[in-house]
Amino acid sequence: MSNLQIKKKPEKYDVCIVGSGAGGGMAAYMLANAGVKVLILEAGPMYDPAKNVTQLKWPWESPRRGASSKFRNFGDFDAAYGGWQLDGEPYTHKDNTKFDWFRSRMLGGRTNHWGRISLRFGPKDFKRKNIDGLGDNWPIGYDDVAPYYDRVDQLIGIFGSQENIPNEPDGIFLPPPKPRLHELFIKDAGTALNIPVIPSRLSILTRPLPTNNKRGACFYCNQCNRGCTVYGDFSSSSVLVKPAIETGNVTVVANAMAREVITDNQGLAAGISYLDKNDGVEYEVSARVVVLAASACESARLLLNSKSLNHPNGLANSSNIVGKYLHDSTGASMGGFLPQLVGRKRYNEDGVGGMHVYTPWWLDNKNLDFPRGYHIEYWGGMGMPGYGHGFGMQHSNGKYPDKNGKMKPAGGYGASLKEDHRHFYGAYFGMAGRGEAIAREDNYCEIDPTTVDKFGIPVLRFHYKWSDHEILQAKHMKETFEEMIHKMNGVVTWGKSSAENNWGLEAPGRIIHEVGTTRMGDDRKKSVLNKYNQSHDCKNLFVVDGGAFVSQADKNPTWTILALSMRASEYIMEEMKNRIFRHNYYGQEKIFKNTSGWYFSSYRNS
Amino acid sequence: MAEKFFDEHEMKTISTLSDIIIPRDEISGSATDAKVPDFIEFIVKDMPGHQIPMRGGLKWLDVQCMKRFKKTFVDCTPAQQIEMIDEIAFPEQAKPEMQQGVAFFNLMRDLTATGFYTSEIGIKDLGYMGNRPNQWDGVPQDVLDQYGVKYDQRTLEISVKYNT
Ligand SMILES: Cc1cc2nc3c(=O)[nH]c(=O)nc-3n(C[C@H](O)[C@H](O)[C@H](O)COP(=O)(O)OP(=O)(O)OC[C@H]3O[C@@H](n4cnc5c(N)ncnc54)[C@H](O)[C@@H]3O)c2cc1C
Ligand code: SF4
Repeated sequence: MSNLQIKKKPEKYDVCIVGSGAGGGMAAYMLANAGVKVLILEAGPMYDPAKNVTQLKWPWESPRRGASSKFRNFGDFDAAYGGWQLDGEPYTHKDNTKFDWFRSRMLGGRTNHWGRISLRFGPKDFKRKNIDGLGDNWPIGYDDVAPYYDRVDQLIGIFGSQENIPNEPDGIFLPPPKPRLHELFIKDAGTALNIPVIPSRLSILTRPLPTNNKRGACFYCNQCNRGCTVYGDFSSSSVLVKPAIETGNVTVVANAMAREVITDNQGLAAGISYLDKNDGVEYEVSARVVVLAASACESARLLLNSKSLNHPNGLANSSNIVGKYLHDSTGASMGGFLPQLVGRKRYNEDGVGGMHVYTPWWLDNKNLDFPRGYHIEYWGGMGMPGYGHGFGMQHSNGKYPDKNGKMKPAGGYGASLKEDHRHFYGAYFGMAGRGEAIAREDNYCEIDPTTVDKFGIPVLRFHYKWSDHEILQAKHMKETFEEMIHKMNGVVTWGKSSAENNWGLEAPGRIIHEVGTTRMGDDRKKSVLNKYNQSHDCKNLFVVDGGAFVSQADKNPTWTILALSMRASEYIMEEMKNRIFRHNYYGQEKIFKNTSGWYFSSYRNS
Repeated sequence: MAEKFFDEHEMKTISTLSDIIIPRDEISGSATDAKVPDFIEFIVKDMPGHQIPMRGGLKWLDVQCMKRFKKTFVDCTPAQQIEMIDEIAFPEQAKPEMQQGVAFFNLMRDLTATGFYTSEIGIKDLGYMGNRPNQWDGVPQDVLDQYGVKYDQRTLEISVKYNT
């Protein structure tokens, strides 16, 4: 391209946010509502769950019956524009280690199709080092985050129940849906084994929100992963970015792939350079504050690719910590079959788009051979068939009596096979553990020295290994699952494992809770961000995705990403008021204070 | 996807096999009524991993039938077809030399079932009642009674309720 040039955008923004998922959406919402002029650069296209509808479609409306395909890893109906691999945007691995990286490129990021499991971290989760000596403590504690969790609950909506479990803080909950039939069996088994089974906590509106008339209540289609046309569940696109745009203070550039953070001659962030995939032109845009929210690994990549005289090691990386301490939740699962449910009566059992009950971590690791806990997620019942439905009948129908109480050889064909499909429908279920891994410096992502993506941006190379801490935890998961299943008089049909395959521990990245790559801390030599998600090295740079996590707890990360992004946004506004970010790229900056105390938007046109 | 993967003979064999696996009965139609062969043609193009096992399996089946009956599978009489299928449809009883056939028939059984039960006919047959707006108010009382379970008092108190 001989005519390659970089165009400078004339507009100047108060804040430029890269990425519009959980972290970016929340920052945009908060800042825009406070009157700050925000630019969102989003690598994917615009997306609105109300308009991109696959909700209530039947499997036969897809020629592949909803199956996954190369670029729709969760299938035709799922809302993800993305997957484990993106065309022309590779990532690589070091030393034959494994890490699978799930990326969605769309307004709202992965929150359009996530599981909506919305758990607060508890007091212990911020201070694990105090308990077991491993990893590091967060520079903040539960009390710092609690008020923001409360506000996230109220703003976005979540159902759950008051349980008073010390490390599973209750929130401001909408009422939960009643358990399904297999969930009642799970609950009974758990009770008998002293394993708590409590109402799940999902960001789904079982009742309309008192403060929001633009979102409808859930109508129980069990399809949150497809995107909800009435906005009954939380997606950043519909719940945060859309109202942020409606304030008039937000500009979104979709299909804008950020390449680097630009810094000025003092080493402060001055804006972003990006490729507009719509017109293929390279742009630079200025902002007084840069907020990265491109997801934990992608934000680390941006920083590492932003090298300058002042920041030769990449931006915000004088500590050399960017990319390190990458960690994902552990995962292992098992499933089976409940003989008491064969031939069951049919009714609409869809419920919300997820489990109605779950198990929070219930044991004390002091008495166990692994240091951190896990929670258990459940599924099962009379779901809508999709690709894969009916597979493997030969593993069930030889083991149990058929409709007429007769034993038959496994497999078969014909009318009696058809009977078996009816007979066994709705009797399958599964469970999965999601546990805390120890964050380690030697699990990391870094820039691959030899590989670029199709935009010419150097790509990430991953290095990640599980330790015995995680492997022994997976073993415990499997033992628990078997115990639960036997207690329910169920039969394990898949998921039995052994030491040879690390007890079925999933490869790192598979649980899609990757965090820790730009962790926060009080010691600037050992952390990238301070306790307000602000770079130690570059004061007008923030990272508000999961990168900031010091440790990932045995919870899913998103509710904490949201709370911390809200908290960081308020800190940004505070700092703006105090004019800490005043620096000179505006040339002759005029200070102007309007009646509300906000001055920054007023002087833009001066 | 206009290009065909299976030739006419292969498609005929697939149709015959799928109707042996899922025939019409008093409740619902057959695999071909639900257009399962078209689904199989599509999915092997979409998931190329199925191509060799399917193509090779169909060939294996014809060669077996040629040896036994001097005819390809589709040209065999229904009784001969069933005689052949009985050799490969029951994994735990099949002879060692039939194992390749068993693997093929397992795949054929899987794809037929999935194609059928994701079709309109198949979903109706299964009696799946969801995929429509609903107000989930818990397991119906008669079902709770059938299994001798109930919602405890606390669950009833805290859960979302509907006046249905
Ligand atoms: C199937 C699935 C189920 C999940 N279930 C749960 C769950 O139940 N509970 C839970 O807590 N978490 C869950 N998660 C994880 C959850 O989705 C993430 O934690 C959350 O979305 C992270 O938010 P984020 O803002 O950091 O990143 P994302 O949501 O990934 O958003 C990042 C955005 O940045 C954009 N972007 C990336 N690079 C660039 C660039 N260079 N320039 C411009 N824009 C860029 C992307 O296009 C994307 O829109 C799940 C994830 C998946 C995939
Ligand atoms: S289950 Fe409820 S919230 Fe989820 S998509 Fe369906 S209606 Fe919307």
